[in-house]
Amino acid sequence: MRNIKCYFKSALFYFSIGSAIGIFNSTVVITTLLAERSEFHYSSVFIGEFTGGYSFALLLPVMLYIFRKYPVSKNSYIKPLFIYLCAYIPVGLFHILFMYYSREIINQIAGWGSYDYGNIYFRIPMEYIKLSTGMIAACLISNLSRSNKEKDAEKLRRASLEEQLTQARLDILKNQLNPHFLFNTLNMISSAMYENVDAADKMISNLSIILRAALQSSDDNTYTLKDEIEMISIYMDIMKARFNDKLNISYSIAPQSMDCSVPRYILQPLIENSIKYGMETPGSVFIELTAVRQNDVVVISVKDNGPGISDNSNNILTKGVGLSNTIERLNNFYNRKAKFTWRNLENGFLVQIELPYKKV
Amino acid sequence: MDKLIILIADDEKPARNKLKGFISQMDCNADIIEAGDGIEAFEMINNSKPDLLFLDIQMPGMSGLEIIQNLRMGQMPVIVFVTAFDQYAVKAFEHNACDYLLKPFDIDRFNKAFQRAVSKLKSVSENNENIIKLLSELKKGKQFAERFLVNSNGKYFFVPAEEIMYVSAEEKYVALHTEKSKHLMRDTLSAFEEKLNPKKFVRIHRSYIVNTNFIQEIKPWFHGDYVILLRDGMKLNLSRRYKENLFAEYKV
Repeated sequence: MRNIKCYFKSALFYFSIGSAIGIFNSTVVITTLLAERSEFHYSSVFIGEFTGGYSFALLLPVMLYIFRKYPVSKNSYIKPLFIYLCAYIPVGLFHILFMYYSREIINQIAGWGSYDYGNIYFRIPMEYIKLSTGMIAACLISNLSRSNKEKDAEKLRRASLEEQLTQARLDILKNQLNPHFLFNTLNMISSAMYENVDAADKMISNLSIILRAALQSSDDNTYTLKDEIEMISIYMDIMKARFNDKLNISYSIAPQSMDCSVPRYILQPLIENSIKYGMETPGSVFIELTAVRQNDVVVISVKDNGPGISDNSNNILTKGVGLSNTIERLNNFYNRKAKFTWRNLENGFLVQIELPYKKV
Repeated sequence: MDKLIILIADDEKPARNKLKGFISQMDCNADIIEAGDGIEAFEMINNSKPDLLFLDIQMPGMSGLEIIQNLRMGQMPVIVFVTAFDQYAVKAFEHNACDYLLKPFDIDRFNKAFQRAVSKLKSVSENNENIIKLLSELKKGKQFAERFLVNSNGKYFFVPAEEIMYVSAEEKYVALHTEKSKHLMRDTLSAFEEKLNPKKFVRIHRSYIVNTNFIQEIKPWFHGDYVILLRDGMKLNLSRRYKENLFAEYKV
């Protein structure tokens, strides 16, 4: 039903264009003839111009299809223009035949005898020239509207990237400025001061780095895997000071992957989740963070010995901080070329991110 | 004063160390024991019967509030709650004259809490009264016990509240009946009732609390009494005295 409605709508649209051309051209011809004091029949002018208008309207969808399929851009215009030229000949031919036969039929019905097409050596070039102005107009409109649409889509993509980064920053901020994290860390520092002033001082500086990073807005394009790992190791230093031997992390990062551009805070939520769910089970938490580079692909894995995901796998999207946001940001940052996978292990949980290597 | 037994329950060692350091500066003779998670703390309260407890709220295994929801009144030590951040709990503590410390705290604030707690040691009834008030305050804030820690052959495990079909009073114990088994806990039925969500659990008799999710049928009996038929075929008496508890909730 909706289809029929759409179909009807576009038929009405093209019919209106045909009518508008008919009205416009008839007016031009009639005023010209009146100005020249020539004798003419209104009916033959109207029949001529309206059949021309409707014929053009009938061909317009075909032309628009070609313009859309082979758009002109700065980088490629020779091939599309050549295609337009090739299309111009058969389109013009159909246009002329349609006009001729429709006028012939109308003449026969009206009983005016056979339609006289005049001298075809002048008539055919005239029609082709007239058609070219229409085609150029259609081409300009089609290309302009397309480039506007593309610009809008690009704007939208950028806006959503920015929004997602803001969201990620907010999530991290919420976590880092999470009163539990903040006050427990301060309490740990306060305890350390009685035992080891240097260690306490170190923790104050670590906490400051994390808070500053969360508060600071900086360019995402120069952020590397190395920066992300550094941030995580500082965060882990704090967590380890709080929970001692309960928390363990090992890093195995291939040097060739260090300078890969990554979105900010792409691993932090994964580490936080590993800790959060690992702490709920007895025994120590072991996290293994690895990154390897295979030619143009960097594979980062976060493996833990936690409980994993018990029921359905959609849980990871609702569970914990912003994992769905992490996936969305990966998709946007790498234009859907990054892969995010997870699975339960016999004794733990593994998240893997595969992303295209991009040097900063 | 006799030697005090003080339990520090906190999952962060530096936090325990700080409390230990502060306690050692107090003028008292104390044995300090430590627990690193909720379940360990619960076991230590049962086994070592501490006089004074410094209880962290956020702990893995079992939260501080869950621990008091699972303890029976007679074994409540004097509790000083310790928390980094929990607006709701802090409000509840304030209302019920429970001592609490907000992390990080200094020695002066600790000293105050410690002196107050020591003076409370002499009055068990006042302590119990405060805890009962706290439990009902938690209940008002919709913080019901979601699960109960039970002991079977020396092993501890949780029974989720929603799996309990009904609770019966058995002398000094309450029995939690699930579809598969029955677990005994040292508590009174009235105190236990305070820990349950009243939307789901209704007192129907001097000796019974029923989980309404498991009710199959309610049949009139003699003298205005009723019989409640549970899904597994078990029958419980609904006495006149408690009838309104159930009917008012469901507007019968």
